[in-house]
Amino acid sequence: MSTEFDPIRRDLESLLERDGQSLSGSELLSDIGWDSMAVVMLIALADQKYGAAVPPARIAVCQTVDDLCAAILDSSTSGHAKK
Amino acid sequence: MATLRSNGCRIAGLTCSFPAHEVSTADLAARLGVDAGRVVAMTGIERRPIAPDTMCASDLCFDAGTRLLDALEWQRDTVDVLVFVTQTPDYFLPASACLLQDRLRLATDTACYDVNMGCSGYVYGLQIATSALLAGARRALLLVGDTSSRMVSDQDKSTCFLFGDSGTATALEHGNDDLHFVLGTDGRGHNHLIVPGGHCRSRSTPLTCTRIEVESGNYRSAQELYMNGAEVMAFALRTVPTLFERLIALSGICAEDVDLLLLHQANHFVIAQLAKKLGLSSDRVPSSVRNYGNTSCASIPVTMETCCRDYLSARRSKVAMLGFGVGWSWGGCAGSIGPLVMPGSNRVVE
Repeated sequence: MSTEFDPIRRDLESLLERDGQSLSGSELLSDIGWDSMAVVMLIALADQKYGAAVPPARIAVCQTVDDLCAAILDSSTSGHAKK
Repeated sequence: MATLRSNGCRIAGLTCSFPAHEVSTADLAARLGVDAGRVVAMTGIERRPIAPDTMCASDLCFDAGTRLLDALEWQRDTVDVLVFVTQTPDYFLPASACLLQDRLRLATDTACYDVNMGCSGYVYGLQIATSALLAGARRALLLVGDTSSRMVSDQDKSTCFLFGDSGTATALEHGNDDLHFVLGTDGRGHNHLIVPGGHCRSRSTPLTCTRIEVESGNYRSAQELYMNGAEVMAFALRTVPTLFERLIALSGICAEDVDLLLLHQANHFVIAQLAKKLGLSSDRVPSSVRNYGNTSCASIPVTMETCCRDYLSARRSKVAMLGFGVGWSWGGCAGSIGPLVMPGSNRVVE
């Protein structure tokens, strides 16, 4: 599972402008500057890179970084990230 | 999606009017303690024209309509139809189009409509106006504008940086533009972009006028705009590509041959994502948000005026217009238009 989540974690690091600070996946969203702008960017990222139409209601109940990763993978058409 | 064709009409001209007063993102962000750089990077909006409390969308559209009719040298009594698209009318009743008929000195046998539409409103207005022409009207004046800033809480960071005020006028008559329309609606999304209070469903009371903290640090009343940005983004991504695809198939214009894709100007991020998804280079997808913000139903004509005036007034162009948002409602229009009479925008002082 962690292998599948890794590329999404890297994308989230970039989206959140973490400046080289990596995400392990267990971080609480409330601790890492997650806000409404980040949600909008995540929806676009998921659509563009993973072919995933993530329902905003699903994102709203995510609490950790890996919850977001799971939401994207569950919503992608193949269930896996595009190459 | 409804597919319609208006063969035998043309857009003769277009212009816009804006309030003279502007609000900069930097100033507002400083007041709210927000990182202006992040807001501008996301929205692309640096400043917006904002109407004073006594200026309505109809005032801006009156200015635009007067200047356009004069530029076209159209006799007022040749305009048989007036369509006013707005979500910010002067009154609950009467229809603002009736007031505009009088102010513009149009004939009393003019048919006048108010149309309550937002992001898709320009396309819907074009479809209504061209239908009237095909049904026998000689000329139509389409006025499209909003003073959305009036509905937004300046303490709600999810909306207060976005909306600019404007009024536009588009003149239509018989011709050979051969416009194709694709229109659609999904009212299940109505609660994601809504002013819930102050109208008939929830009458204005002291409670509906009171701002409360609705999310962390955001304050608005029930009579101010609520926007779920995530739902708007998801709606745009799932709807607009299909809309464009159907419009292209219907019109017979190849996507590669579209000179200008005129998107509703939600904000820079949405426009950029959609342009990428539709496979169109940014030079064919103009954006007016930097200086005007999201001008609601008027954003397509505002973009035509402020970004494409030289282009559209000089030649015939293949254009596709895509409006999408509040409702959910969406509409696309494609065809060859121009050259247009475009007398240039104006700033209106109170």
